Amino acid sequence: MPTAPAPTRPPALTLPDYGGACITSVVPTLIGPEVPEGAATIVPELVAHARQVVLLVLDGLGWEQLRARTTLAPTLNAADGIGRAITSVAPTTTACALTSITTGRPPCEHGLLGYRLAVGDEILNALRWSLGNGRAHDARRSVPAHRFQPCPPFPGATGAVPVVSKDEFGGTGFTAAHLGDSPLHGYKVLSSLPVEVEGLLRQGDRFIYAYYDGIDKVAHGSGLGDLYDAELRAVDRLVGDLVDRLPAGSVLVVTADHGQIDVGPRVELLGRELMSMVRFMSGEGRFRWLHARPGASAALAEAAAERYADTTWVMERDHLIDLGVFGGPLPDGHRGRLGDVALLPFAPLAFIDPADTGENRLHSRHGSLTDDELLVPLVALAGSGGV
Amino acid sequence: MSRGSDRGSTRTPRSGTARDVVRSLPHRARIEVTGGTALTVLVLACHAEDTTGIDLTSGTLVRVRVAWPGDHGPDLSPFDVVEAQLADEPERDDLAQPEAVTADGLPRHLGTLHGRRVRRLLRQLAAPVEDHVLGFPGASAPYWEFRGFRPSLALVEPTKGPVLFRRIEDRSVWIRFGWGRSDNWLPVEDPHAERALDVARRDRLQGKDLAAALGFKPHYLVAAITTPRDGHCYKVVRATLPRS
Repeated sequence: MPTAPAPTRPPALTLPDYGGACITSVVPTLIGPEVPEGAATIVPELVAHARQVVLLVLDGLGWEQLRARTTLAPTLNAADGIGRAITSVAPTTTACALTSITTGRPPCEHGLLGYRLAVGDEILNALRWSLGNGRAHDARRSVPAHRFQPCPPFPGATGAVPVVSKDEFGGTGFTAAHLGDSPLHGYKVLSSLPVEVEGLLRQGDRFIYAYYDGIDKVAHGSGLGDLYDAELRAVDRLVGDLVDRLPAGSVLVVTADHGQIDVGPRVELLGRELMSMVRFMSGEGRFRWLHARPGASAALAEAAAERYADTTWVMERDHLIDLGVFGGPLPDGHRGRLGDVALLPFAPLAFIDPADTGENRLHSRHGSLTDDELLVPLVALAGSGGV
Repeated sequence: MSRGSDRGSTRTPRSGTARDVVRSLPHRARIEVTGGTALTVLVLACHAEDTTGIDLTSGTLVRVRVAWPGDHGPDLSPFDVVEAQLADEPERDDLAQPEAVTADGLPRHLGTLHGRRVRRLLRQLAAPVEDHVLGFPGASAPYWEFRGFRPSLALVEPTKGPVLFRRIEDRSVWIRFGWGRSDNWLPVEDPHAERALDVARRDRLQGKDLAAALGFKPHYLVAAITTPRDGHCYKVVRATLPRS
């Protein structure tokens, strides 16, 4: 006699290791003077003796993807500390995670809680720092970055930390939000990045922050295929070039803001019943916030949980906060930036916000809390002159 | 979970699928419209003027006029299955709406139907592509021109589009779609479609964005002729529907 299939239970939710092996601990541990409790052991040994440190953040380089491609990235895969991963933050998305790296604070404190956030009745695109849809307008005046994100970058640094990043990022709202007034040494092409870093090291800067977004771009545009592999090879060569330029006593530390998951065309439509309870959406495809119509929050959560039990963690806002997903309780001002019900897929799929133009075209995505998205490397490399 | 108000409703609590109800129905070649008959209807659109659906015993498109009480608006959703008791109407025939019947009281909600059965029903009832939606060109016609020879309902499968948009002039919601060689622009009287524009915070939606805002890929449109407004009956779209 046939038996009914057992109901699928969602896998246990892995939380970011705030205060421990998490990207929030990287900058405080490297700069000091106070190393977060529980984070003392995360930084590779090489760093302990270094006089100068370069922190290179590779946008979108997940630990799982890196370890699955050891031959494509031999330099990174031979680096000190490659054997274990650290976690990103929630959501595993650039705006939130980069801000956690630079400020050393969890999302509940810095308040950049996602890619698209509710600001009153409008949506702030945190990367573009714009409000509205379609002809969105620049929000640098209406939403001042330093008020929206109050935590200073690079806490504990004795002077201004030089930033080596793309020239075009200078002056944007998001740059102001996560890097403050840090001086930008912009590069136009990738080959200039190591040259800029070397120049700053020779000047005697003790801590340098560098950023490159190629891996994330390629993954979003083409998935984790041949183009991703080629980009990973190029990034590994970039790391090699940087190491070759390190003077004695300096060390290169490499980490990332989040990983990736190949979703391809699998986009979930919420159906008429759920959509009839939704006022609007925010967040990102793999950490989708549903803002419920008045009085419909519980019913929306219940219906979504029933519909997506086998693919998605469905949780109400307060439950997520209570679980510590954002690193602690949220001040009232930050709470309003979130929706009522969150959809975090553990299966390779995404929930599309029709208000977010262009979201349909992404192949690889991130935002949720699967290992592919949550785990990132933290490795160190020294030059030929040694530390 | 409630959908709309339950005040004074004759709806049963949400009852899952209505497969058993549908399976037990007899098959008839023609729709029975005499007073006192109970029609079992698969709802396609629900509007204050009438509830459009498929009579499940005969597979006929029907529009059931329901006198919704003031404190209880039309709250049926597409693919709900309802039972409607027909009222005695000695002068039932409306030449502009030959499919119209009048319900005695509120319809009784029996459940919801989805999947293959719905897909088959809709496919069978989809209007064959013609030169004009609902058999005549233009957006409206005088009431006195309707002689009962044309349907007032059509389940249209667009061959191009659709594009849902809000007109700048009066903020009304319209839909544009290709059907054969015709390019059609019709007003939309579907609250769900109107809400989709609000959810997306946009004045124009199509393709994947429209599907995401509706919650489904729009496969069919329920086109209908309205009751006379200033002497004219207008073509409108009462619902956007998925394939099943």
